[in-house]
Amino acid sequence: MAAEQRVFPRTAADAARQIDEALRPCPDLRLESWSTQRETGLILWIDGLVDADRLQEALVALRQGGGHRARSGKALKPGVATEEVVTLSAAIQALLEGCAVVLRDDAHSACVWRLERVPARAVDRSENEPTLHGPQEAFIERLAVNIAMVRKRLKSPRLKIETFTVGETSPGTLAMMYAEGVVKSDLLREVRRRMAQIRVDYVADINEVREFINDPRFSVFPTTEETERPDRVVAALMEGRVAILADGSPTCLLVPVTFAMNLSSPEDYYMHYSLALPLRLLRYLMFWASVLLPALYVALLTYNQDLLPTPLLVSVAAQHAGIPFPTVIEALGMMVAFEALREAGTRLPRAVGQSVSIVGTLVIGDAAVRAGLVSPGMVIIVSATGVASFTLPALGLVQATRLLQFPFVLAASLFGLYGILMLGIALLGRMASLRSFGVPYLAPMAPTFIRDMKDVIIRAPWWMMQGRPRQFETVERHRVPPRAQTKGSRWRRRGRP
Amino acid sequence: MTHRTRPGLKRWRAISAALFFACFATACDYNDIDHLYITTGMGVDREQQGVRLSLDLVQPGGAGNPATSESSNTQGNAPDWIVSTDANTFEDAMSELQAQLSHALYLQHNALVLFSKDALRDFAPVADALERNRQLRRSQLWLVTPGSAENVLRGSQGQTEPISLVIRDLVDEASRRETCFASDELHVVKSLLRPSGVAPLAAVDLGRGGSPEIVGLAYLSRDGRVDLVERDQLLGNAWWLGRTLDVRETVPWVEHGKQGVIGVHWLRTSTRIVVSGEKRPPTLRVVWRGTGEVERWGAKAKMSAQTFAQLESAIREDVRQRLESALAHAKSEDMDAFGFANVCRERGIELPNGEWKNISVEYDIEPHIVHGQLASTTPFSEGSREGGH
Repeated sequence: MAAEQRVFPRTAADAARQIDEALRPCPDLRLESWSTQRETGLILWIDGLVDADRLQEALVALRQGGGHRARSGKALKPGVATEEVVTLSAAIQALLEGCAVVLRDDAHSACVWRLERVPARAVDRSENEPTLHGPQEAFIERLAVNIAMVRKRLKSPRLKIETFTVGETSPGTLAMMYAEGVVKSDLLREVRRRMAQIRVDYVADINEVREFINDPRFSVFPTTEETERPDRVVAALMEGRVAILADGSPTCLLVPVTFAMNLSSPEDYYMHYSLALPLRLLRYLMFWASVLLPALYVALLTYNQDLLPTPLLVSVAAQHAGIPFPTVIEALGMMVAFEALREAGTRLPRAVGQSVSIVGTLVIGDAAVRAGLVSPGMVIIVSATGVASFTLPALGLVQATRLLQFPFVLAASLFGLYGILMLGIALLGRMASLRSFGVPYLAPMAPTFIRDMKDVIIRAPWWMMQGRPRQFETVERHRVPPRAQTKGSRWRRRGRP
Repeated sequence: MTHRTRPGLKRWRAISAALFFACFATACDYNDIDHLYITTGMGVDREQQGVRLSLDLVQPGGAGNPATSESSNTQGNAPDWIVSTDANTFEDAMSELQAQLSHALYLQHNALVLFSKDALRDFAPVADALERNRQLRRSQLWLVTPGSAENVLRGSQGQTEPISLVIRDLVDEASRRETCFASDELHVVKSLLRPSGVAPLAAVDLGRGGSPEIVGLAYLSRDGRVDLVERDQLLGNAWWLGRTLDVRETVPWVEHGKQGVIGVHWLRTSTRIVVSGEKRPPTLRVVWRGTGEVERWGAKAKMSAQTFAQLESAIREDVRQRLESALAHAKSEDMDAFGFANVCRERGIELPNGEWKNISVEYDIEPHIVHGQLASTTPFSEGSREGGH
């Protein structure tokens, strides 16, 4: 590294040799000489990272135009974006980023041609957050494209983007986006402080960033929101939140986040508001069902049978007859089997994954029941738990429920409903103590922000949501300035439509 | 360093101790459903030595279990099985039955206690045991059978669910129509403790097809006397004891000297007993209100205001006769079945023992017929005018 920090040697050949030594073995490093009437030198690039067509055009232009423009240095700017670097390390970094490096004899610097064409996929539909209505495109792995997708929606000079370079071995770029004049300055300071503290050798995905800037170091609940939808990012920015993007990651982090936000889907804002209420209620119900359903079943079958209606108890007892395991072992076994199937279905290619899912369902649901290993009721409960967890829109929350259901089952097997109650209280206490960048996790329910309740369980019509969420303490309280009272509005208030 | 770790250590000790005691307090109640014999009904018969107790236990391997439906078991493929024993006391019988069984008896879902008529003669010890048992719910039904309770439980055939649940559903459905059948333990005990000291109980027995059926209403007095009212006398008693819904009766109708009947479908009726006057013994006014429709109109006459008035008069007379007949029967049995003493007590009037029989009763009966001839005449009315079946 010390050698790379040196200034350029006198000749281009020496500089190229030192770069080659720094990168060796590097079979995809390409080198070509060039000369004009006044200058000679070498050009280096890495095959595959550079737009080859534009490079050839630039080279031709360099060779042809060098005669009369070499003195002013314009020969080195043949219609491409350029940059001057004075250290070998900067030149090497530019090479690795997909630039062509033009070395000149007797120059002690290099010219960097921005010709990168890094392999990346095209913008596609969102796979993890699909919706029926609204925009469909999702982020990809290129930061510049992702920023452009946000800018496309938020055409305002108030959209600010700050970049950070993170990674000791392989520096990567992180971008912090916010809406100036909306976001609280303390929040910006805090995000900058945490971003500055990240120490990694390279950033593979935004998840690494998340774990560094997360509020509680050890918590199963997501205190940052992940999204791959630019429209969701823009909405968050206008609420006074901050978005963090990483080059190479198709996911954006939104901070701060509350528990209620994890249960709202982008679809809620694109459909009629009256439909959002039942759907959100359903998601709240499903969240608790995905955490508690197996535990309640175990508690009711091992401690609190008196709470079941008699016909149901008789039916459950009939189903359970002949099962060789205690209820709790049966439940844990089924839950582990279900998780294994889910994991297998996720990891395998899509076509095979579906087969695994169907085969697994058949094996667990039918053969296991016929073999007398599990009861039909348990299969229904575990399947219903899985289905309930699939209704949650936030992947982080789904993973939290997958983990939480196990301690609840153990508590139910040890203490019955009493255990579920105690653990539930502890869980709520823990959730109430969580903060996401200073915002209480259970806001706006605890602490209560009445005005923000318009977008928690219900989703009020857009014309009622004129204010930005109070919980984020935005600089501007209103999305649009309050309308001055006009003649027309007075007239409407008198009862005319 | 020591100061920093001590509070944490103390906290962990406290949490460990709390968990330890919580385990003791709650985990001892662990009772997997596989290790329970769920009791859905009890039968109590009187034996020379004491009581004969029969328990209706859910048989998990019986009908309804997809995993074991093809396997045989102790009593075939029945959904339940009956175990019985004789003992001096109810508590002894419970202990003996538990000793015969490989799993714990689970009484929380006991739906009913079926007493034989003989067993009720000395029901106080059994009632005391039932009231004291914390596992039993007070919503369980207390029922009477004229014969043997064990036979009713054992004799039923072809049921797809435990016989006790069948009987409970039967009684629940009947009590929806006639509230007097709602003989759950709480109401029965409350009725026995009131001044009249009489509680109505549903009476069940096996029908001809081997299925249980309601055979009438039984009055149980605090001193152990039981009076069974047959089904044909039921309506008058049901009206005395509260509201009825969706019941039917046939009212005699005379037209041109010929005897016929009219079918009346009572949509709802209600009866209130009101103390009128301050003299002793007081006079009771029975306020009967009913809304019904003529379901079978066998008269030749067309419905007119006059015919309608005659019809309501006939119905009023029929209702009165049924009420009077029920009261006469209660007096003959010396049972204040309709709670005259209770009504008087509510007005602050204490009746001496047996004085309730001397109370004069006024009837205030108002039937309200809502449908006329149009809805009750069919092409076959001609054939049923003479009374028919």
